[in-house]
Amino acid sequence: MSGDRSENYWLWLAERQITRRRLIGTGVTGVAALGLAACSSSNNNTSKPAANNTGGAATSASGSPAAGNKAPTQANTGGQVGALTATVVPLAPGANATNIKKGGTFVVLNGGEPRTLDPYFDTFPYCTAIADNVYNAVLQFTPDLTKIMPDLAAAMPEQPDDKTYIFKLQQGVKFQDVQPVGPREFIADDVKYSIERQSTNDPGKFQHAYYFLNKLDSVQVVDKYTVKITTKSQYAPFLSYVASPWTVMVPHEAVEKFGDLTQNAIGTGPFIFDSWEKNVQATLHKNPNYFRKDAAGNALPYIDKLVIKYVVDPQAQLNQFIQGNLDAAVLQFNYAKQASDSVKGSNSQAVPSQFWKEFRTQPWDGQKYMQKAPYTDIRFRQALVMALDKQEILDTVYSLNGKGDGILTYGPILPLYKPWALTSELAGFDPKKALDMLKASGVDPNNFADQIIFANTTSIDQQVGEVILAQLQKNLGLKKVSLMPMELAAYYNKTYAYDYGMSHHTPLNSPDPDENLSSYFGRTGTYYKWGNTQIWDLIDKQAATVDPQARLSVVQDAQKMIVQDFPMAFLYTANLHLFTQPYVKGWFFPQDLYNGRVESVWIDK
Amino acid sequence: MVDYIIRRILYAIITVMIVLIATFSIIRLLPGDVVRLMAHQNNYAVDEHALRHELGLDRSIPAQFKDWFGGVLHGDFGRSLWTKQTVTSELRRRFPITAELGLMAVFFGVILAVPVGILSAIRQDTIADYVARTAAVAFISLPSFWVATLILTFPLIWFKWSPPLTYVGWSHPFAHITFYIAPAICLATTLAGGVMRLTRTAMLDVVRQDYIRTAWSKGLRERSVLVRHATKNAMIPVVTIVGLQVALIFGGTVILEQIFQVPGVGRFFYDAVINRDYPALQGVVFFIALIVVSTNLLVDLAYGLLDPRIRYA
Repeated sequence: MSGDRSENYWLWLAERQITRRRLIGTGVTGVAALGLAACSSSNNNTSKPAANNTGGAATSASGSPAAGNKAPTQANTGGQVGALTATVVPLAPGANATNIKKGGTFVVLNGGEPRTLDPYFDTFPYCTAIADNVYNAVLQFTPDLTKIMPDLAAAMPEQPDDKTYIFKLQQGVKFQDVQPVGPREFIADDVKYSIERQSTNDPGKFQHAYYFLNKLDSVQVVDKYTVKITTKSQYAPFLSYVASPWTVMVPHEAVEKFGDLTQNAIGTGPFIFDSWEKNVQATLHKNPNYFRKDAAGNALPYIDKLVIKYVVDPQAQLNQFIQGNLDAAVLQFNYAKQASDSVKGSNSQAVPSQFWKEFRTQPWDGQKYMQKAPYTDIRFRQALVMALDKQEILDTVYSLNGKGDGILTYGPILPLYKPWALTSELAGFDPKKALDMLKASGVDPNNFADQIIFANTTSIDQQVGEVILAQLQKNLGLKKVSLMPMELAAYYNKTYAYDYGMSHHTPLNSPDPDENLSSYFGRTGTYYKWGNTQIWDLIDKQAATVDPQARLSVVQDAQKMIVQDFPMAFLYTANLHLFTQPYVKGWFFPQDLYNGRVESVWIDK
Repeated sequence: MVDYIIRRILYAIITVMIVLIATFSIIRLLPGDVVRLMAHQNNYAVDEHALRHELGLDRSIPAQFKDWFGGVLHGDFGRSLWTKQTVTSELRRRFPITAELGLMAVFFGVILAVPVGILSAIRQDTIADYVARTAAVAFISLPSFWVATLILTFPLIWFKWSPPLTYVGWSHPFAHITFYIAPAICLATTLAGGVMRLTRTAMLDVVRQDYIRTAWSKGLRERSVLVRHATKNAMIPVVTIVGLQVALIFGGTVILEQIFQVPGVGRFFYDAVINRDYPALQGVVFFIALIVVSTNLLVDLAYGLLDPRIRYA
């Protein structure tokens, strides 16, 4: 509850005489409710939509091979994964039908604020904290982001051929009882409307149009609960984009009434949006008609109210957590120890971030943007890449308990996205080889002069730059290389002009390999440009390879080719530190809020 | 007098216009481009030209200015390029919050600075005076954001306590007031340093006047001389200076609102700068300029009323 007094003070003042009595009553009612919930679980099950009993199947992300490079798992025949069904959420570890407490307020930290509530308009993970709780998508990623499972779909789609996906929807799912939508049923027309809205070609607003724009041949409503989507050609990332937290299902009535969803949110999710007080917090309350239940038959969500607090300053985040004003928070690594020491019994967990660090050399596309010497020489690039000791950077800058707080990366896909990521080093730290390559390239370390640009948004960026510079000076003797910290907008202006020699950069990695490969190294990539046409061809090939095992092979080949062309050093991803108060139960870690649904959280106090 | 008022109003209008044009131009000359910032938020090949056209940024700067200024004349400050919300609605919501913070800072600054400044003057060259003068210089020298960081950090380490960092509306009056105390004190320190020194100087000037000497010679008690005769007159320049600190207060809130999580105009301004949100930035600067210029205009007019010599200057 975090001491959050939800009612108006004046009302509270008027009613405080009865509050104590109410508290006692609540305790009694709570126990009774738990007993009733346990007794009525079988009844609840009988009222589930028919599709519930079919059980959803989960498939690896994008119809990809299952983690561990096992045999391919086709999306249409995906293996059963027990409790990971569309409507039944597994109980949290240690939970059973009787020990889960219902009610209360859960206050969670957001380190930034959404620009808008419309998930089609935003790309910041902060938006998903609200969207994940108000909306559902047809499919969704599992919490570890390695598999895709049904959300509003009754099961994974049937695929009669490589370009056709038939989605059977759950029956009886209702939109929240909020005007102008009311508690009407979610049907196939809503899928068609949402997919087509997501594809709107309006670059100033619709940020995810590229998912489906010009990629789909048709979106057909077959019947009330069936949608058939046909892609123009084989399109491997399709299921990932259907499962994206940005492809949630929105009701047309809300868009028609409000014009857009920038200030309003009405969906089928576990919480109903109440208010968004900018720079302060967003407030949501329980959707009593939410379609999901836990494995014991309890209705979800357990909590009555969800408050998402926006606290930007890292010190203020720590203060708020220690004071008990936040029930859950993701804190910077350098505040982790103080948080643990100060809040006895708090739960903490370190998870690699989806944001990671790379050291780039000069971009080029072979057409408009050309490399300049000596970056044209692969030996020089190799020297730069192999002169960097990524473990040392991690240990120096992100030191927690004497150890680097993060994991190393070996290619353009983060290790947490199994099985796509490379698992071994192909261009690791080797100062001797780096120096040999530098000599072979003919570059005079005493005369080579250039800058390493970076966005100086936090002191950590500066520290990383200093360690990289020191390593280049020490291992290659580059005396005239310097750091150029830049304000964020100025930095992006430079990077999007592809006008720099070196930079250290912090991009965001996504679960589908196509996003990570195409947008940096692909034919039309804009985040970075690399004009190796063989790499382009491989990236195009993986996007058009629907067979998961075959796609994995192409993705791996593409990554190896990228790494060994030495466009950049793939360095590391630092850990995020999730903290929850001792009384918070049932919360899993949302990967950078990619999935921040808190339907199975309860407050044990 | 009418000529004087008209002249002052014309000066104010010209000042606002200069601020408008300067703001409009300078933010577009800053390195960094909102379209490229937005492009970073997209994957794949976003069409920069289409986006620029969509945002209306492909037109000439005079054309953009004409459109925006036309809107301003009708009370429309435009829409945020990022959130698509009207700047007017944001300002309407945020201004009372910042104004409240500013007023509280002035309150803390004055109740601290004026008594200490008076004491410093009437006990000139004593230990109390030296301490007060040192404190005044320290208050002016210490950056308020640094003081803010200390306020957040050390109580947490020592007492596991921190000032409240969640804004609460008037529905919870006690929480509402306590939320403002820490940022207001930080903001007040810089203000207090200046006011303390000015009060001391003004007081020293007044206590050497003939009428004060007369009051002493009449055998009035110290309290009566200082409070009824000296302080009253010494406060005239002090009040004027406090009134003119509006710009300083607005400037000070930009960083403090970040640190203390105050959802006011300063935070809106900061976000607008970082995001190169031109309409938002123009709207905030114009709004602040309007307040500062209006305050100055009122002061000028008040001077004119109080001192006839100024009207003909």
